[in-house]
Amino acid sequence: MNLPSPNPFNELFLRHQKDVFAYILTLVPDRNNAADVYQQTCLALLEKQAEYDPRRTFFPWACGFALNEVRRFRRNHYRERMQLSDAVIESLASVQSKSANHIDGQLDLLMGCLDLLPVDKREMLMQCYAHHGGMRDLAARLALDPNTLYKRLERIRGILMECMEKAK
Amino acid sequence: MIMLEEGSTAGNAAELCSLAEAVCNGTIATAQYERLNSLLSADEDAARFYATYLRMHGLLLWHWQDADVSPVSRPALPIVVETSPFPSIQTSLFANLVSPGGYLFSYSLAVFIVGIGLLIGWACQMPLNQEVAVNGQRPSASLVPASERDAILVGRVTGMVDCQWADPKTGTVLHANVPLGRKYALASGLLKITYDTGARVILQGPCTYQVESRTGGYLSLGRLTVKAGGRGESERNPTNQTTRNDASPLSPTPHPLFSVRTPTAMVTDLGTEFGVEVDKSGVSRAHVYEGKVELRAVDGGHSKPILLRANESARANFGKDGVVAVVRQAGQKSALVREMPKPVSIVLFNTGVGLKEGESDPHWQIVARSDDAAFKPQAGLFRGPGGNALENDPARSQWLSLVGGDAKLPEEVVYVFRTTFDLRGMLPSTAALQGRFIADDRVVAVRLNGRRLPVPVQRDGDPFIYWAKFHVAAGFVTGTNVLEFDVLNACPFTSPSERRTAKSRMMFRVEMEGEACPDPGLGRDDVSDEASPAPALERDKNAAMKSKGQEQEKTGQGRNRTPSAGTRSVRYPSPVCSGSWAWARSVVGHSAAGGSGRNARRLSIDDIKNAESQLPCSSSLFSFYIARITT
Repeated sequence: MNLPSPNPFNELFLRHQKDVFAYILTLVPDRNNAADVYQQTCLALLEKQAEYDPRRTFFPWACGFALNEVRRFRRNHYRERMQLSDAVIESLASVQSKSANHIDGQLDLLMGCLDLLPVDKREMLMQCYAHHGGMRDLAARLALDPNTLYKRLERIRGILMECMEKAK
Repeated sequence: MIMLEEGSTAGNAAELCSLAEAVCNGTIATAQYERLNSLLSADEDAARFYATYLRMHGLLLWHWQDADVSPVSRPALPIVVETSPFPSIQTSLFANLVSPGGYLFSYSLAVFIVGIGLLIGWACQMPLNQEVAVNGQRPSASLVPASERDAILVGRVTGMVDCQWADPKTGTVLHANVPLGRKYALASGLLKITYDTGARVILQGPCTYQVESRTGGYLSLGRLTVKAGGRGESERNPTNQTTRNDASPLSPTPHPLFSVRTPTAMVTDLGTEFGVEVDKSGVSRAHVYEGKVELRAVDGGHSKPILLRANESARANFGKDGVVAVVRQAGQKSALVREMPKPVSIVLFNTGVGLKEGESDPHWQIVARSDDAAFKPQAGLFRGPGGNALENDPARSQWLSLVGGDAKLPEEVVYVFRTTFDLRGMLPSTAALQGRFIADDRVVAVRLNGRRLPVPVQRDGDPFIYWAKFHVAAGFVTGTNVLEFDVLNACPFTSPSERRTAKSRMMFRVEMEGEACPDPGLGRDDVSDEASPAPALERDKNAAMKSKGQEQEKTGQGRNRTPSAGTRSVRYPSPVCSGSWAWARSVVGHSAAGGSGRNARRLSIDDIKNAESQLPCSSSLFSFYIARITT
């Protein structure tokens, strides 16, 4: 199959889609809701790709669209009580905008840290993220008490946080 | 480091850590959200910490969303290491808090800090007795298991095929470090270790091997091949006894010549590729493929070593008096694996490829229907999609049905579509298959070799345009494999009184691809495949009927046309063609979600065509999308 020459915008999008998703997840904690907002953001980015100035850094530009979509989503779901407040959303967006230019390579960093995790911990974490049911179901599947599972995951994510910070 | 710094209290840090965890686990309660809001709005450092935590969570979610967690596809876990080798959050926090200018520092609350540090230790469940990493040091040294942290690393695991472990504690994973002293006990399969010196060792199960030095190991049972790397022969001196025989077990001292020790012999590389085999009685055989090796009996240096050249073999065994004797042999007795097998494509058949009206698919059969016990299997017939279904793509896949043209079939009936594929010459345990399907009305069961697989989430049927993705990583058998899809023909708009006589269109379409490693023909007599015979027709019908019942019970005889949490599909990159599919699904998935506020017509056709032209993968989704917005 003859591959067409890549479109720079698409290349940038593909490179940063995971970062955009992770950014949205910081503002919309529910993963299903975050997936919806992500999808809307992708649409918005595609629509506005002609307006993208290649001299600008892509990720902060994309975050602007993501934040708009997050706001729109929150307006449409204002009845859902379990949400972060508007002030917190703006605060989270603000702190992330300051580091948005240094987002490249975070996944690689994380993968490096995952590689260094003991196998049992990595397996447990993968089970957690690949599992599509509830955490209690997962705990039952792993023959663990749910609280034990939560504690172990907390410890593993703590290790990864440390690793990523040190590896920066 | 993004940890809570000045302006935060350590107590809040512990609480924030706990709340962030609850968010990640999806267990956060309303009251906790209120507390989280309170913490994040009061402190920018807290917001930064939370954002970093959730961003990591998002990347993990992205990375593993489609991961296969089938236990069959993974090796057994090695020893569980309980201690965290990493410096704890509270250790770093402590360092930050007491730094000059820090909030707590300025208020001279050192005692309070220590107490709070202990509290965080409890809250975050991180051990306190941990080292603080030196600035700039790579994390790798700190993140290996405790048992290997202080060990000398001599290489990495660079290949694994179909590994089953004789001793699960010796199991490992791809890319894992290989520490000095590490033992590998393979029941079957292949494990490749690449030493830091460049030497590559392929262990061939059943096999027990221990890494004894930076340039060698002890093979107590089984077979291996070695392709030595690094220095050339000219730099090697076979007569230098100190370099060959000082191989004290577990010595960290680099050994210039790669050696494989066995119960009866020491095989030393002299710039070559060779194989060694040890049987249960300890008899060792060596065969040289290229270059030379020296074979010496393990007899305290009494016997004279022999030099083997390319295509020469020798054997070291115990004589009648217990003395090891080395004798030359003609040729090679058993097959040794010199290269790790690479995955090859499985020949799979998409539905209806290249078919025209009236033609049937030789690779797909409809083998059963739930309303006819006497039904005889017949080939799937090409079917034109009609107005509200995805257009056929002759080169890639097309709709199949039991009847051609516009003919309709009875409702409330399950039809079983079957295809077969051949894994002869491949290792079933390494096989993986992935694909996507659409059905009118829906697939209610998927089986591989009679074993039920999870049925992926399918969007509400009409229009029949939305693919459902599936992935299979276990349950394959040697030889012919049978893959089946149960398609339920059921229209929720038919009134109950009419259902027995109602008829409607029924059709099915699938695209898939797969890979497996070729079987190197190792005679894996101690490995039992999950062999199961092809399912009998009677069982097909029972399964189909059972599926039908479960499905109808689940859907309550109705079809929910409003997207809900239960019908949301995952929209993350597929490993088949990751980036491009993510792009495609990002756009087309939107229209599939429906009722989400934005209308697909807002995208111009040129935009879509432009995006389509960039896709290195199939663009049938985009093609359909374009067709849809232009009609």
